Amino acid sequence: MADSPQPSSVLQHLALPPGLVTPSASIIAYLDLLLLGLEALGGESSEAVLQAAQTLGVGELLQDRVTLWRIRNASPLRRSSGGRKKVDIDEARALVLVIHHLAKEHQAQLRQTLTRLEEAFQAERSPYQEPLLANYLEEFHAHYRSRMVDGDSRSQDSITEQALRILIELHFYSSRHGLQRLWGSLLQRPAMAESAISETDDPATPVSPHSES
Amino acid sequence: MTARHYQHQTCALHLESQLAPAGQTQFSLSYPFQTVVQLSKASLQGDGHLARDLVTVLDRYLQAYLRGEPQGMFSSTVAIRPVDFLTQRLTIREGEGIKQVDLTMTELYDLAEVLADFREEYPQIVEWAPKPARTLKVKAPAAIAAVVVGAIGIGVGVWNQQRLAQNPQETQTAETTTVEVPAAPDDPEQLRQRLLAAWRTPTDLPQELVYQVLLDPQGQILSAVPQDQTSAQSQLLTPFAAAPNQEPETIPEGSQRFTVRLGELNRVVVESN
Repeated sequence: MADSPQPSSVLQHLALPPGLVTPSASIIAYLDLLLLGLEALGGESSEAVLQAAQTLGVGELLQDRVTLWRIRNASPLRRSSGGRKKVDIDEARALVLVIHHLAKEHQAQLRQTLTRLEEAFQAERSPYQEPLLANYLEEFHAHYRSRMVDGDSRSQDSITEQALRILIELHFYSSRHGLQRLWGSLLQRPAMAESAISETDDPATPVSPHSES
Repeated sequence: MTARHYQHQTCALHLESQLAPAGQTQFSLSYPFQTVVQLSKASLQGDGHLARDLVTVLDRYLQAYLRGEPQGMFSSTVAIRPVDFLTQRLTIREGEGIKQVDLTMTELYDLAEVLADFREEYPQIVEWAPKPARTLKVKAPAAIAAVVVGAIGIGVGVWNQQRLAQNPQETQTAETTTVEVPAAPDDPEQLRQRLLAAWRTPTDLPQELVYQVLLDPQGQILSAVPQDQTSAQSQLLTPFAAAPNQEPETIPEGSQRFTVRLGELNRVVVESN
């Protein structure tokens, strides 16, 4: 594709601090959770991520499902993170562009779902009484329980809270200013506690790239 | 006159300069300007400081929130702090008083959007300073003094785990604590108890905050004079948010002075002077 933008020119919008060549565990974990949120919200598949990468000119960095699986499973929160898959900072930057792009596409849905959450909170109703929210939460729970290392042990309420935080944060990333917000939040993200990482180093059931949509 | 207007769903930001030279049609930060923020629940008004402080304080607040470490942020005119899972309280010093408004996440988003649009067009706003020096002189109107303690209501409602559960019957309401009962003017312990009910240490408190507090004979707070620069800058986050920061010219007979120290872990120390 001769007229496609080069990844390097597209990625330059996300300025790199000196010396940052590998994304931290907390960056990868957060990107994976945001993608999980988008999947729960709109049923996004790996294909949608790869298609967005092509559209944005970073298809070289996110070429196929195996590449995407390797990056997402580098999250220390994943069941299959054992052996720590290597991720390049440009792959993480490409994923940031994709997440912003997909969040923008779902902006109206994010807003509507968040509004329902606020209405439920105001009326002291369970979010599960709101069909839009209930669908999102049930999808998020299902993905989380099947993929994350603490999916079997983490409480229902704790996963729900995580899902709602991700929903709120995706809304902030869905705007025109969202790309820089997301990138800034990643660079400032505190490191994950070593104990949290080491606890998840022991792989449970390996998951293949073909077992995720 | 020149003006600039930004709008996003529940929020509008209007900037207007009356003093721009005749013939100038484009809004510029080079001339003094008024700021009006129209939210769904309130309208906030101020000068250029309000616009600048909203941009910088909201930006820092949002950054902290999005990196997973929500915490209060403040300047001399704007403060914002989380109240519960979905709400934050914005406090603005407006003339001689303060104004507070609770923002939902969608309202915070809309405010952040108009401020980001403005900052994108006028990036120099973050370093903006008016030509003439500005001093904050606040008189001591009784109406403000009467509601000083608890002016920043302490939101103790957190996202209730029960609410997240499938059972919609078990819910809990977010509460706001305010203390309006006057203290006996000569009893430091009563004043301390009032302040304990209203003071929650911000997570980023740089140092102990110290105020010289004046109570009238009925126990109403007449003023809270910050004793150092940090205490002055942080006053909006304390129970003295609405208190005049200078003693009134006429002090009623029988008034009492106390030194109040607000520290970590919600600690309050009150000493008679």
